[in-house]
Amino acid sequence: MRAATLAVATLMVLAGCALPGERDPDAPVVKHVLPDEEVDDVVREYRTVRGAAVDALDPQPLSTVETGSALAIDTGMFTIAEELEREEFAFDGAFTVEESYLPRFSRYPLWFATVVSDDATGRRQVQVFERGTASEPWLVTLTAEITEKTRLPGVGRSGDAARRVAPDDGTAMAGAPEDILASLAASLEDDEAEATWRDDPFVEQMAGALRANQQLDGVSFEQSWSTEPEVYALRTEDGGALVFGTLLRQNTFTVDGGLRVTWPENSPQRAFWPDGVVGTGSLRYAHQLVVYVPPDGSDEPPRTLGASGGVIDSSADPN
Amino acid sequence: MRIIGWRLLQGAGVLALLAGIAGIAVFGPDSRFVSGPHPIETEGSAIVTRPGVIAWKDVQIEVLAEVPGDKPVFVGLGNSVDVMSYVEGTERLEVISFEPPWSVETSAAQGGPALPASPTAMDWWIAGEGGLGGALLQARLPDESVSVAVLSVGDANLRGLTLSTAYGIEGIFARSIGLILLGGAVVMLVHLLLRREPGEDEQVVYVVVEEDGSEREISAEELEALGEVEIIEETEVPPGERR
Repeated sequence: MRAATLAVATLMVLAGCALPGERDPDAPVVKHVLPDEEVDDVVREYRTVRGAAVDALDPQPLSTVETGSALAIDTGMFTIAEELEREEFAFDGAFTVEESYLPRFSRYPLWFATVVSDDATGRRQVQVFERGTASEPWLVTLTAEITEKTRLPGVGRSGDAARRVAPDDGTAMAGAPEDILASLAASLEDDEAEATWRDDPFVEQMAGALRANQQLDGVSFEQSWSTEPEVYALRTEDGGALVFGTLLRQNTFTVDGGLRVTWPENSPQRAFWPDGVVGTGSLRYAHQLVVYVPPDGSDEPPRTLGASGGVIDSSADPN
Repeated sequence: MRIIGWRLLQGAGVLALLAGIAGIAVFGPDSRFVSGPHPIETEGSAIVTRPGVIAWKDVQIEVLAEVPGDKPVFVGLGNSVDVMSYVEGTERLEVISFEPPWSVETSAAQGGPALPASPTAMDWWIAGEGGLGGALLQARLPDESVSVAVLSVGDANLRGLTLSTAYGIEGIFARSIGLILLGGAVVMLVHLLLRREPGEDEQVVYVVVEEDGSEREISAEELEALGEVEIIEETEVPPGERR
């Protein structure tokens, strides 16, 4: 009978190899955002185009590789660099993709996040790439710098894909990603930051800038914060979330009647208002952040892990 | 019970033999099953299969799109998420069900007259081919939700389009021959084995050796009537042979 069993097994294998398989009809229609081996190509293309734009201080090519606040920040940076005759670093040399977070999607827009370190400077950036439709290119929507020592929490996986969290889903966490960013904006707007965020490095840095602006002689200063609707979030292994989002800050300087206020040579205000401000002047900033949201029951508060930002707009009203 | 096992094996051999014959009859020496050309009535610039319509994997497919004149045309296979996003804003014909060899149901979807960008510029096609007057897609269906798209390029449309399809299973012809040979061999071997094996209808013949050395066949009853006997020899004789 051993010979018979062997013969049957051979028949089954031979027949089985020849037959095609039917896919599970209940399998969801999904797309893994990008093959892992293509991430380097996307990052390289971005850095090449951005590098050329920085070298020429020409924001035009940037719109083919950046969008939203990321584009606005770089465009503002070009204005400042041009006005102040400052040289900006291009980040267009050799690089290392330290980590890629590649989720699955059932529809566009698609996005993924990476941690990229610049080999020449060692500077590390978390970047979010988004593709709005299948006919559009990958565009950077968020860049936030993290320090050399910053370790991002491990991201949960479902198969070979990073797990996403909906921006409004706060299940089993300290809060929904968009609510956490709103709470951060609210605490920045208030002089007395909420206890949750009081020791956060980004909040401390912004509080220092606020105090400096409030001390200007002959100027009344107001500051307001808001959040941008585009929020990206990944589930961390501990059940929390890694959130990528942008806060908008508006600084308004109202100069006392009969006065003209000028700012120091290297300040952004000098670039936008070389002759100073009479009346009212406003600068809008975008701050792109990486925020860790802990799971329910954790002793840790939410905290910012990285940030980048800059002036994106200005206005002046002499009346 | 032993004989049932052998008969089951012989049945499997017959099945393999029939499967092999069917494989050769359907797919032929080139391991492909061809259908078409089939005319498609459309004035638009895109035809796509909806997600889920292509339900197979590991099948080699070929789609030949032909248009009159030298109009440029593109045929591509892509993940359904990509393909549906790409054609979302374009007037199109969607294939909502398909059964080989050629049973097709379609539904028209509204949209603009042109595609958002040239299909040849897209980087997410799993496989795709463009051409003037015709294009041939050759691809193996992966284990993911995919859609086939036939698209016009530039200002052209798909008026006058005909489609031919071919489905193939790699090496099916050789495998079919293998099945025929193996199945046939199993059937024959089992048949020969069963011819030699004594079955439940085994017949026992008793032979008495007389004192003068002559042999005589007796029945079981005669043997019993003899009482105690000395057994000189026991011999198994294959069916059909007589001693």
